[in-house]
Formats: sequence, structure tokens, C-alpha cells
Amino acid sequence: MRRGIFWEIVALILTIGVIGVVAFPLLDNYLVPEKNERDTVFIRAYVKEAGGFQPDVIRVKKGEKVKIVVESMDVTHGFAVKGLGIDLGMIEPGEKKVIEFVADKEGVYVFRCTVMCSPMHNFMKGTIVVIGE
Amino acid sequence: MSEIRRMLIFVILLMMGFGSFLLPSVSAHVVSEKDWLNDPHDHGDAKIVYLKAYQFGFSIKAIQEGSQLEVFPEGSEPSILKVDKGDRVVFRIISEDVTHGFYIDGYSPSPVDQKIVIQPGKIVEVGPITFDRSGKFKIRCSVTCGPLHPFMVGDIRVNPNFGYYSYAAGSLLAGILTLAYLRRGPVNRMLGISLEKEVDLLRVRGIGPILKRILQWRGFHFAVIWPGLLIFAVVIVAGFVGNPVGNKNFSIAVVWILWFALVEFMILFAGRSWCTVCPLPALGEWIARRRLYGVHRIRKWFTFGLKWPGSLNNMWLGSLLFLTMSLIIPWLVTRPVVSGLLFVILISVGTILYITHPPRNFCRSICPAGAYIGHDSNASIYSVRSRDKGICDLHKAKECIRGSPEGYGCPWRLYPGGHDENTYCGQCYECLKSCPLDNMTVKIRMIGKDLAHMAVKAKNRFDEAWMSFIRFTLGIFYILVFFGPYAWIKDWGNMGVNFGANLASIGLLVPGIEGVVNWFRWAIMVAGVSLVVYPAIFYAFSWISKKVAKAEEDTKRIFLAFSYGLIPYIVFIWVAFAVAILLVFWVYPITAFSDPLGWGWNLLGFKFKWDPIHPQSLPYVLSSLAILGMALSINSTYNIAREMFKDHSRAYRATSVMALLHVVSAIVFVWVVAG
Ligand code: SF4
Ligand SMILES: [Cu+2]
Ligand SMILES: [Cu+2]
Repeated sequence: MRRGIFWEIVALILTIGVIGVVAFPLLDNYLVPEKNERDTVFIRAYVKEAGGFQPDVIRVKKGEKVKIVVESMDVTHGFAVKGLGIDLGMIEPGEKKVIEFVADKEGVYVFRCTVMCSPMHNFMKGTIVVIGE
Repeated sequence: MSEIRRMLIFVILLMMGFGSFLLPSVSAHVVSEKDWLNDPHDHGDAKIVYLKAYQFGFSIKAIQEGSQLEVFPEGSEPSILKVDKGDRVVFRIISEDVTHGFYIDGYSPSPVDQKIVIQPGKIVEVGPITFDRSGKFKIRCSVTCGPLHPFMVGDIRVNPNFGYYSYAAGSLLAGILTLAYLRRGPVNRMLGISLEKEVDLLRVRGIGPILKRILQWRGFHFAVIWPGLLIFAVVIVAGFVGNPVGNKNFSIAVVWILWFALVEFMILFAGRSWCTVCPLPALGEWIARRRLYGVHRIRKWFTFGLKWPGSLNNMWLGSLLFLTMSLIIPWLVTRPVVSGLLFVILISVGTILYITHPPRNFCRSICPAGAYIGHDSNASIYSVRSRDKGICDLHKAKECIRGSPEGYGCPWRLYPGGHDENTYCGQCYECLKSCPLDNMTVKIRMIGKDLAHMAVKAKNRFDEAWMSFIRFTLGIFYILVFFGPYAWIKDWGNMGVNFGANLASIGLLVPGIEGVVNWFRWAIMVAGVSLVVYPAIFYAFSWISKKVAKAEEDTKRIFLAFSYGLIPYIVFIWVAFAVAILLVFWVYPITAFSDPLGWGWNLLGFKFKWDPIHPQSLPYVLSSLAILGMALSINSTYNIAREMFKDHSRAYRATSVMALLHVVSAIVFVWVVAG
């Protein structure tokens, strides 16, 4: 009997543990903006209808080094910032492309998707805001 | 200062947002038809095929031979390219919408080594490719381009298509050979193997005792359900918050590729083993028992204990739910959120019903997976049976029904000692634990052992007959739809929606009016073929076979009985489908374990690129499986007829008529995959 109860408890704990496994990605989902506080910015690209670039406003400090990681989530996208001379070319789904740069002029720079990705492709863009001290 | 700057930024952003709405919609990327159809290069004697890729298919705009350009009018562009063996072909490809890829089974290099990408606004030239092997080869998209990307295919037929002709002839030959074999009147045999022989798996030397200890171990059920629970928890989470594109998402890749295919193999080799592992009703079962592991207070359920209505004691609800799922299958197998919702619903209903109406009534009558798995597994080589029915009859205590301190009474409401069909046996192995006389075991037998006596008993089992028809027609139909070149059928079923979706973007799935209208066409087509057309043909053949056999039984009875003969056929057709899915899409489930949400993780340290395994031989592998199923089916029909008519010559004549139908079905199948 005792032994039986012991195993019941083990099984119960294991079952409840499943909830932990499930909670982990959910937490991570909401932790992503946090990560962006540091010097690396993660951008996930979805077709515009599903949200476009997330996040689509990025703040960086003038003169600081920034690293941007762009990942395509659904179909092939692109990433280019004309004002900063950045063009990452095509980014296939599941692929990540990384760019590091130092923004030395204050201002608002627009980044866009460069690959025709959906009917609302032309609206798929975001801004990098370079702020001075 | 900073305040003003913020204002400024705000205004700029606002203007940009506004400005974008004033922009004209997409146009800049489209290649003009003139540029496309004017090939500046000289390709010698090669044919030039002007191919366009779109969500979700390929079609041919024009074919050029020498200076002759044949342009197909808008709306009737073929999606099957017919060439002769030895032809040299140059493909000039554009994309009409988003970025696609291009890959030909067996003719282009592996997409891992060299991926051909078709970007909108650009013309890509591939070739010349010399088609020096005849047969049917598929063009596939190799760049994830949306939810139905995995099914974006076109066909190339290299004539003369000897493979197709010989497999079509092979179906006929196999039918004739089976009939020739049956002519000798083999009693209770299946393609030469006796149906009386059974292997008592738990008494096999070596593995038998080990297996027995495992199956009788109290913790066994929990130990196999728990991983399933974990996987399905991930499925639901991934379905809700994971990547909206199906093939990047655990919920789709693991359920509709890995799970689906494994279940088909399990049905053949291990009966309802899925239901042993299934976590869907497990929570309810644990709550009802107040135990996850042990046996507790038998017959006093921690439940409402309501009685299950007798009118639901059949397969109607399950099979109609299976058909309903089939009607939304283009969404179900490509949209993570739809799968996530489905499993939330199944788990909730399964749990609640276990508490209100214990024990496994949900599994018996409602679960759509349970319905087809149970039905098909009657053609399994695997069965849980009593060793000796005589012992059971004499043993009055019947612990297998009532339960004992070692195990629960059968939660599936069967009499395990006496049952002789797999339909409602969920293989939970409680009877192996509760039987004090060690009379329950696992038996391995030849495919189709139980079909004859089931069929003869089936006086009014329309539910199981229609389950057969639904499964049989849909098996062939799905191969045609998902692996066929007809983009319009996919589009109908898909309601013309080109987006994937998780919970956050579920709004994208709202279809347009035209999409809904087309979906109704699709639904009528699917339901019509499986519920009406094929059953009507089957009825006609049953009627003819009654006439030919001069049988006294009425047509209805013959019709219902012969429908059981389809079961081995069904199993092999779906196994064929599963083989195709695994060989083409094996990367998706494996990668999904490393990156379940499609967020770019790499938990297990590996990720693979899409690379089908020898896809050029699929038509022949699939055809062979279907032909084997056909032969088994003809033999089953004979066994059923023999049991029913108790006479060889009548049974043989009736079987010959049904064999004709089965051979025609096999030829249709061969045409679908190889023709
Ligand atoms: S019938 Fe359905 S819910 Fe029940 S065990 Fe089988 S698959 Fe799971
Ligand atoms: Cu884009
Ligand atoms: Cu594509």
C-alpha cells in the first residue's frame, strides 16, 4: 500500500511537471521584448497581415554598437535599411541573418522587407530611431 | 528637448503610416509577359517550358519548340507537363506571388546542395534537363511559401510511361492470380497462410516473458501515456503560440506527419496500440479512478456514473466526426491553431465524458481517431485475446469484466475473455492484469482473421460499412488532392486563404465569400464521393454478385458483409499514404523536436533541410502496397462469402464480381500515383 501511494505521488508530480514544460515557451514568448533591452535586437518577420516585423520600432543610442538579428517566421522575407546602407538580402523561413553596426547620426531610419511576400508586402516596414544623449 | 523630439518622431511615424495607404498596391514586382515569353537565348533543340509558380501550384503558360510558341489561354493552363523520353527541356520560371522554389523528383540535384529559388519579379532558367527516364515525376516547391507549401506540386509525365502501364496491368494480373488461387477453395486461409494459426506472443521464447512482465506491470499504462501527454501539451502550446506556418510548427509536423504515419503502421502491426498510449481521455480516467497508477475501489467511480445512451453504441458519431474533420482537412493539417483547438476540444470532451459517463464511452463512440483506428485494426496482425475461451466460459468470477485488486474491469465495456474483434478493444491490458487464471494474452495472426465472422454477424451495421467507404475513398482521394497537381481542388478545400495562423493571427483565417462557396463545392465533392457515389457503386456490385451467385441472402446483407472485405485494402492504401508522407516530409517532425515552436531554437542540436528520400520511386512503392491490399481484400471477400453462403462455388462467383470492383479501384489508384 505504502509503495502504491509513493508511485501515485511520483506520477502526479510528473503529470504536473508537464504544465511546467508547457509554461516555459509561453514565458519565453513574453520575455522576448525584455531581451531587446540589451544591445542585441531580435526581429521576427511575419507577413504584414500577421503582424509584419515584430517589433517594428527599435530605439538605439547614437554611437553605440547594435546587433540586429532578423529571423523570418513564415515565408521568405528581406531586410534593408536604406538610410544606413544595410541590406541583408533574402531571408528564408527558419533562417537568421545578423548585422552589426554603429549608428552615428541621430534620426529615424526606415527598414523594409525587400522580398515580395504577401499582398500587403509594401506596407511591411518598421523604424530604427537613433537617439542622442 | 527630448519631448519635442519625441513629438517629431511621432508625427513622422504617423505620416509614414498614412503615406503607405496612399501607395498603389503591389505591382512593381511583376515580370511582364513579353519579357517572360521572349527568350533571348538559343537553346538548340530543347523545348522551352514557361512555368509559373503560385500559391499553391505550378502551371504551364506556354511551350516553345524551335520557333513555335504555343500559349495556353488564361484559365486553362495545364499543370501536367507531358514530354517524350529523351526530350531536352528548359524551364523558364516566374513566380506570380511570393518566393517559391523548384525541385523535380529524381531530376534536379538535392535541394540541400542546390536550391533553386523563384523570386517574384525575376525569371529563373533551369536546364536544359534531359528526361532520359520515363515515368511520372513531381515538381515540388522547395521554399516555404505559406501554409499549403508542402503540397505545392506539379506533374511531369515522361512518355511512354511504362511504369504506369505495367502497374495497371499488374493490378489486373494480381486480381486474376488471386482468383485463380481462390478457385481451389482454400478454407480459412489468406493468400496461402492459414487464419487458424496464431502465435501466443507472451509465450514466445525469449521476448515473451519479458513482454508479459511489462504489460502486467501496473505502471505500464502511465509510463506510456505520460510521454504522449507531454507531446500533446507541446502540440497545443505550439498550435497556439508557435510559428503560424504549419511545417515549421510542432503541432502540424508531429501530429499530421509523424503521428498520422505511425498510427497507420501501428494499425497494421500493432492494432489499436495508439489507444494504449493516447493521452486524450487519460486525465478523465485518472480523475475518475482517483489513481494514476494503482487500482482503486473497483466499481465505485468518482464520477456521475451516468449510463451511455444505447443509440450511441456504434460508430456513427465517430465516423461522421472523422468525415467532418476531413472536410476541413486542408486547414487542419496546415494551420497550427486549428490543430491546437481540435486537441483542446478532444481533451476537454474526453475528460468531461469520462467523469459523467464512465468509462471509455468517449473512445468507443465519439473520438474520430478512435473510430477509424478501431475499424481498420480489424485487419491488424495483432490482437488481445483469451488463450482458451472454454476456460473463460467456466470461470464465473469474470474479473476481466468486474476487475480485481490487480486490474480494472474492462474500461471499454467488453468481455475480454470472449471477444473476437479488435474494433472496441483499446489495448489497455487491464485484462492481462486482472485475469487470475493467466488466460489473457496477445496473439499474432494473419491479416483478416476476424473479418469473416464479423461480416456475417453484421446484420444492420451500416455504421461500420460506411466507415469502410469513407476510409477507402478518402485514402485515394487525399493522395490525389495533396500529392496531385490540381491546385484548384486544394484551393477549394483551403477556402482560398493563403495565411497560416496561430492564436494571435487567427483572424487571418476569415475566408472571403468566394472561398466559402468553393469550400461548399469541396465539401459536397468529398462527402458525395465517400457517402454516396462509392457506396452506390459498391451496392450495385453487391447486387450483381448476388445475381451471379444465385444467393438467397438479400442484397443488403451481402452489401454490408462485403464492406468488411475492404478493410485490408483500406489499411494498405493508408500505409501507402503514410510512406509517401514520411519519405517526402521526414525532416519536418525531426526538426520540430529541435525547434517545437518554429522560433529558431535548436534544443537538440540538429536541424535538417528539406530533402525527400528517393521520391522518384514513390509511384511504384505506393502502387505495390495498394495491389497487395487489393489481393488481401479479394481473399477476405471470398472468406466472407464462404462463411455466409457455406458453399464454394457461390462464394467464388460472388467474389469474382467484387474482385472486378477491387481491381478497377487499384487501377484508379495506380493512375493517381503513377499515371
Ligand atoms: S479512442 Fe481516441 S481518445 Fe480514446 S484512446 Fe483511442 S485515440 Fe485516444
Ligand atoms: Cu515582404
Ligand atoms: Cu511554393
